[in-house]
Amino acid sequence: MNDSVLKDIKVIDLTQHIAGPYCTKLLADYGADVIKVERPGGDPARRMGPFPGHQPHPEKSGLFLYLNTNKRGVTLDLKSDGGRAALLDLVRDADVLVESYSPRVMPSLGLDYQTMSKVNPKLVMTSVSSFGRNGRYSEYRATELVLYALCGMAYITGGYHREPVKHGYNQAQYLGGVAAASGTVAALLGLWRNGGQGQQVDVSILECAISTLFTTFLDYTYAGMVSRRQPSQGSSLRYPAPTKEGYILPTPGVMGDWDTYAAMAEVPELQDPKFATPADRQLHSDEVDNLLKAKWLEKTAEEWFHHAQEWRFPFSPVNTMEDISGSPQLEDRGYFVEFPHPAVGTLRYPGAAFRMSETPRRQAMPAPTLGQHNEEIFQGVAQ
Amino acid sequence: MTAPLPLSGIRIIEPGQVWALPYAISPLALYGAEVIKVESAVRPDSSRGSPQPDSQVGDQPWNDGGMYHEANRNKSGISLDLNTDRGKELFKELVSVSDVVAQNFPPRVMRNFGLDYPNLRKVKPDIIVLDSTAYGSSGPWENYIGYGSSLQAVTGLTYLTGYEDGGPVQGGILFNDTLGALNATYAILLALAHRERTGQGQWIDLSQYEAGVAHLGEAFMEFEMNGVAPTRRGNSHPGHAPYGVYPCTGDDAWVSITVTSDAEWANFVRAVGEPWVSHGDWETVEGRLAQRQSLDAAISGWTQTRDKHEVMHLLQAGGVACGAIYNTREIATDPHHADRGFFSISKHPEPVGPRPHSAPLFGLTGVDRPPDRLAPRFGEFNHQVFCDLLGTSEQAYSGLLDQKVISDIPANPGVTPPPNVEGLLRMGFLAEHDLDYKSKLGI
Repeated sequence: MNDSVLKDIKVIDLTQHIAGPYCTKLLADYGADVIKVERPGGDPARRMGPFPGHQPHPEKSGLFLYLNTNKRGVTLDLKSDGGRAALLDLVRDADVLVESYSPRVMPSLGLDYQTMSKVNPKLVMTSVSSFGRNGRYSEYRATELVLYALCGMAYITGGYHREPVKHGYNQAQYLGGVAAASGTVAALLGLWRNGGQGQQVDVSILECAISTLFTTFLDYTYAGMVSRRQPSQGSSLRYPAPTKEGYILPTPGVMGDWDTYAAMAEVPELQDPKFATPADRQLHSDEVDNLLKAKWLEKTAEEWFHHAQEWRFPFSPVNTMEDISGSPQLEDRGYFVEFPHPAVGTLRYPGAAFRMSETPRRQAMPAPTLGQHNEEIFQGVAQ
Repeated sequence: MTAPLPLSGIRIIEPGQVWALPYAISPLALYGAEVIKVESAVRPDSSRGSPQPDSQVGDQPWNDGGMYHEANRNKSGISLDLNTDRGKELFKELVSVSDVVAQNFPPRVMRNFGLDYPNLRKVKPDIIVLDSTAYGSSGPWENYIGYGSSLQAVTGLTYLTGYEDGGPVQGGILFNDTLGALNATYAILLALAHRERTGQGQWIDLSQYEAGVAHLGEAFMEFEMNGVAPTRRGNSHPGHAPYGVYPCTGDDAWVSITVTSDAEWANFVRAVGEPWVSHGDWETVEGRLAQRQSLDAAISGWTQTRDKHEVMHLLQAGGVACGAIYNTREIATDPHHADRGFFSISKHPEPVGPRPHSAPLFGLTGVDRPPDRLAPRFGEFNHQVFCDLLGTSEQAYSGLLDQKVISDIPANPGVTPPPNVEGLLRMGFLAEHDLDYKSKLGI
């Protein structure tokens, strides 16, 4: 059943890897009819893990299966005249085309926005790329690590005396995908509300990653301060700390309420006036660290989490994927979705990033096998 | 000819604070929505005061903070004490002429005010309400609180970040606030699309916990498929080598180099053009993965006598994905961002002065955005909103000020004192304090 927001919106999806497919997943999960066009060899994400039993198989990639729910799949060779003609036929009655090639590729295939908009003037064409459609690095190559280098996040992450380190997995790619989905719907809204023509949407994954620096970037543009990986002094208040079982992030919340924090943590010694202000605590950071680090070992991360939350401190456990799989909060809210796929059977997948009361995410259809819908879609075009 | 802004004529009420919600609404304001930010008449948005220009506290520090100015351009702003009956009535009057209410207090706050979705819907049946919370508006943890830092840990990201031989690492300050914000923007746009098509409003329940887990889909699938929770692997990649960070000349200077196919390795060999790199065992990915340590050592030997920018441009010109590790100064002054106009300078009155701010993260190339308006000073739009929009008389308006239902100056500004910059520098928390930053930024 599909009663979601983007019902009847037809999306031609030329994306591959992560950012573009996450964009079209967000459109598909909220009702759009997404036709994923893969090269004859398939989206490279099909060759990226995880795989059941660590055995690579093009229909069993956990990454691909997650990113391509609710899409129909066809194969086309866009380097052939027939492939290009078939694509333009699909574009003729589409609302949206999303692509994630580097900026020179679509024009080199004769598939630039101007050509597409002649075929379909109302078309919204969303382009999501590592560096954006223009600028001197637009044809530079990138991976997640290269983006983490250039966005400034790696430089401030990791140990003081060690090399910079990136966030786990593919955070920049996902952020680029969400921004591209927003740009697509914003352009559709503009078309519906104001009439006129479609337009091209330009998303740079690098810019999305830079936006996560938050105040660290503004510390430079407002005050000339350049941050870096932090020394360990005072780390008991900022960094994950080992407990009796698992790690806790002992975030103090709005500082100033230090006596309450000390009471919550059951360390009365910290109520000594010599620890009263943030500056005082920095001066005596070794003592603070020693007292707190010993204390955290007395309870499990789970126990500290609930205890601190009762005192209204925003502690959080440092969860593993096993913890998340068994999370009572996610369980209570029915977060995970479960459905069968012909190659991997029934699995649970992460669910919607947000709940909409009137237009819930549609019930999931599994990711397409390679070329699964060739017949039904290209017969439709021929008619 | 360019089209009108896509969201012109949409009115959004934003009782939002700090970053996760104001930053979510920011692109909507920059693309034409009329956004009215609603702040407590007593205690303003805590992002208002930080960071202070040049770490100096002015006469009205709550109007000077950089975070506030970045997230709140093009918005109007009012102050309103929702603890008063009159404040609640005025809020409902505002909702009755608006399209969207977006807020990020814990669920109990708007419920206790009687201003949650079921109540607001009675005032405006097609209203769209977004509640952005740490853990969602139901479930055993619904009233638990969390910041972007807490969410990074609870979503699994912290556990998955760090060195192969070390513990979990936090990355950045409030990373998950931005992650939540981008999802909230999309949710509101979807709800507006639905209302445009059907006339129906709705309620959006956004849990930052759930949004964060959605961005770790393949890590969850690893556990689901194989029953083993994945762990940290530093900068390395299971299927590619070289894939890492290498030292360069200068203090704390590094470059990332990633080779993801044998063809790219051939590009790397050509670009480096030295005998050491033409190693028969390294021509295939299997060979490079098997000899990862000696390969990394050899590459470090090559990079450590070179400048990181030089390595980046040399390798990129040869077709290798490579990026210098940038600090915030290098991002702010990188010519690629200037080429794209990612940053543009807003002219604030003193003591803020001119400052660069960033463009929306999705560029709509068919519309011309007008120059950004500055974020509203505290209570700046009180008169315009209450008198011109809601029709409050001048006499009644004075009464609201007298009864402190609204205010032009926050009773309790709650501005954090600026940091001791020289102390932070001495203790190693800062890489540098650039006294010449304004000329580098052209401001």
